[in-house]
Amino acid sequence: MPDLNLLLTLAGVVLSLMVFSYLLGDNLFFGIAMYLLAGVSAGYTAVVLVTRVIIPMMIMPLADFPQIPALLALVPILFSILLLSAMFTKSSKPAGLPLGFLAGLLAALSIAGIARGTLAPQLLSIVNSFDPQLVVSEGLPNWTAIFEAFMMLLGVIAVLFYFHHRSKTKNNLQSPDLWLDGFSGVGQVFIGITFGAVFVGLFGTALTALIASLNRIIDFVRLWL
Amino acid sequence: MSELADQLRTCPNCGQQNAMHSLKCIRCGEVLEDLFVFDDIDADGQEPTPESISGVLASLNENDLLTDQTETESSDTTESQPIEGDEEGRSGDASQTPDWLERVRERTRKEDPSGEMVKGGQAMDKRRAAGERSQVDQAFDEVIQRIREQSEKERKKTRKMETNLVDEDGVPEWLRRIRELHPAHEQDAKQVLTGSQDENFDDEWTDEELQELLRREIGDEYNPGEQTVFTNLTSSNNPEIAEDQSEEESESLPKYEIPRDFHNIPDDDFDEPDNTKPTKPGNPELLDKNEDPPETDNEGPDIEAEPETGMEVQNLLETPPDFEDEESEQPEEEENEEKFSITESDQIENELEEHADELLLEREESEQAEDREKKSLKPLSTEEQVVPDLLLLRDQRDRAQVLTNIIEQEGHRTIPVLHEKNRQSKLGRLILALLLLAGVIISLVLGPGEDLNLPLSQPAGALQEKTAKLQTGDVVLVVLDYQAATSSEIEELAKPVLDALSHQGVSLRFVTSQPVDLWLGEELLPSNDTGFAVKIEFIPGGLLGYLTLTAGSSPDWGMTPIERVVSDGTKLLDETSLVMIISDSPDFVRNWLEQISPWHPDLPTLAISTSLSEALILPYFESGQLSGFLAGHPGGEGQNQQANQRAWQVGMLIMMVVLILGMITKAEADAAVKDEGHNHA
Repeated sequence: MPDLNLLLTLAGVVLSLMVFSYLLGDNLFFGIAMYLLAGVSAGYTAVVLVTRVIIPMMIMPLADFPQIPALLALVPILFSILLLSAMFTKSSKPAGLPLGFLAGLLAALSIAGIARGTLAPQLLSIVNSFDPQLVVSEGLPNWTAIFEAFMMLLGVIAVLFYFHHRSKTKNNLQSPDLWLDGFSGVGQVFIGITFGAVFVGLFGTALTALIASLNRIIDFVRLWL
Repeated sequence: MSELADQLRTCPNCGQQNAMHSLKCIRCGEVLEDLFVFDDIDADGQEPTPESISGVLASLNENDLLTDQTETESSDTTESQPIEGDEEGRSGDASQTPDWLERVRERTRKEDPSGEMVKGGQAMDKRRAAGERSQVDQAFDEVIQRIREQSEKERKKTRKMETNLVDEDGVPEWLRRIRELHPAHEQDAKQVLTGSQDENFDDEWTDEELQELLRREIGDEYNPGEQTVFTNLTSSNNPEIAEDQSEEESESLPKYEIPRDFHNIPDDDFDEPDNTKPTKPGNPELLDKNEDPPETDNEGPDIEAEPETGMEVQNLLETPPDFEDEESEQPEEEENEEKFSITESDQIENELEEHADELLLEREESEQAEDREKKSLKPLSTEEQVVPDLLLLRDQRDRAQVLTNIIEQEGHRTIPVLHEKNRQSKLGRLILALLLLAGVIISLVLGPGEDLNLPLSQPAGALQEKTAKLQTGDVVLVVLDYQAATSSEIEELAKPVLDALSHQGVSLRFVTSQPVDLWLGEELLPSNDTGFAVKIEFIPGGLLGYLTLTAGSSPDWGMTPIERVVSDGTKLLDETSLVMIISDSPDFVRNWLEQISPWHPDLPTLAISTSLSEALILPYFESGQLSGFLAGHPGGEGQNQQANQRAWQVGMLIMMVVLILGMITKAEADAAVKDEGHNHA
């Protein structure tokens, strides 16, 4: 192992131990590790943005002034000036122009993208799950596919009904029937299962990161044994 | 009398300075008996008779200073016959006695037998007594008038208290407050009130009317001006008395010019007796002697005093004061009249005191009722109760209670701290972390375990199948979007796949919109001996940059700024055979599928993500938007991976046990809190 890699490995081990020290509470070593991570990341990001975005996309086109690319480069420069003005003036109206432009653009893209990329495909997926070719296999019903299709349909309806029923509960509107409460509870069960799966995935991800860090430390210790 | 009014009298009992006209001490109530002490009147109130005057004159003659011894002896033996020897002797003593005494003696010797001298003295005394009596009467009238004014002031105060205690409907103040405290019993209280209103109405009517009437009627006894009214009133009912009184008025009684409507009551408080009103029971002004007295059995103790007062007035009407015609009995009559007036003023004061006592009793009863009502009320939500120094309404008491609670909570923390340091939880967290670390470290140190042949999931199998179909020369666009924290998991999943693609001769193109991935992605680059691309391109603008390069087109006037920094520009996906998203964020995967994939629906998309994203991107695989994905710990071959698999299983086992124990502990804690809540309730 080269000396540089050894030093980098040693630095990594030390930083990992400093992060693990958070188990004893928020202390100086943990703070140093966090500030070092944030500072290095921010500095690296700033360098990348300057070298790969600002200079080639905003400064370089100005050399071709008054061509169209140069004129187009003035638009982000103007927006950047308006955003920076919020740091030096009390009024936030100038900064609202580029932020409003971005927010409106993202909102439009999100609505169109959700409708086209999530709602329609997911609804078609539920409908397709009841495709006779899927629920019938070799002339016999595929009970697994049928159960899966019904559970998917039940889960979607129950979850949607749960949110609708909760909005009514917030408005102090009592449900007329008990079965509505029960159906809303079914949706709550589906939501709980989903959150449980997400939590398990989150814990698995963190556990994998922990195993990787401990494995590096053990490898480093074995190196000296 | 003005001088008398300015003077003060000291009470012999307590030493309090009282007004000269005060009948009783204002401090201790001691009767000031020696108020009316007039000249020529003994301490017992007996005026000297003519016999006593003659006795005085006789004693004057018998005085040694005025008469000698010899004259006294001769006068005892021969009172009616003058003696010459005596005259000589007297002439001899004339030089020693004054002239006026000698004239008195001569006059006595001439007139003493017939008593003319005594009669003249009596006449003079009578004349002088008549003048003094008139002055005394005037003084007495003024004293009585002042007494009346004082009694009227007290009555006015008590009347104001009564008006304040009773509202328009005749409902007492204490009853209204009790109703406000107990609205549930309001109906019952109304029913009771309907029965009591009439009583109170009669009570107020007879009380006030009788008090005023009694005071006025009793005042007529000793007030000559008002006696005329009394006489006119009684003459209409008793003609015999009217005849006697008409004679007595013209002869014996002194005439005072007092208006007929004279009264000492202030104009605002004085109510003219309305004769147009219907005759009410207990009203002696319009009471017929033949009628029976009103029945007052159902009335309370306050009302029971009314028929007595009415009977007194009726007795007064029936037995008016007997005025005698003889002039010799006039002084005794006037003396009795003075005594009667004094006793009547005492009666008024006694009645006023009784009335005040009754009011005090009523007030005490109402306070006792309020206390009982307060005791019957349940205590408020908090332990400390507002001390009812004043009678408060319910909302006022609630506000006071809220204010008390606020004052009690002053200085206490009401908003819970999000990260409150708890030594116990901190210790438990440390133990849990150490347990997890110990389990993972031990599993890693023990070395590789048995080979794990874990089956691939359906999405992972689809991904493997899709990549296996790629051929040499195909271009795979690898989109990097992950952070350093998840790099170990991502790299562990992506590295084998990318190496396999490299070995297949597939061209890999790495792009990213995260600056961090420019150096994190270097770990994913295939080895240099393969000769494939090792460059990671940066796409500014994040997802918008990808969208620009995907959906945009090159303008005729040149290149857009983003095309200057990205090779091939808008043809980024045109020559691509497959898109592989390597991201730790399910949102990035979803956004890509929503924004980018629709522009190239025939372009298959694969994903390599963390186990966190597995549950969230699975529906997109079910819908066919994702051709396959690889997420979570896939297992695999090699010693390290097997060891990590064991460590991963140990870690998951420890966490499952901790979760189960935590759920059990939380259930017990909730049950305990619930039991405490029931106990408090």
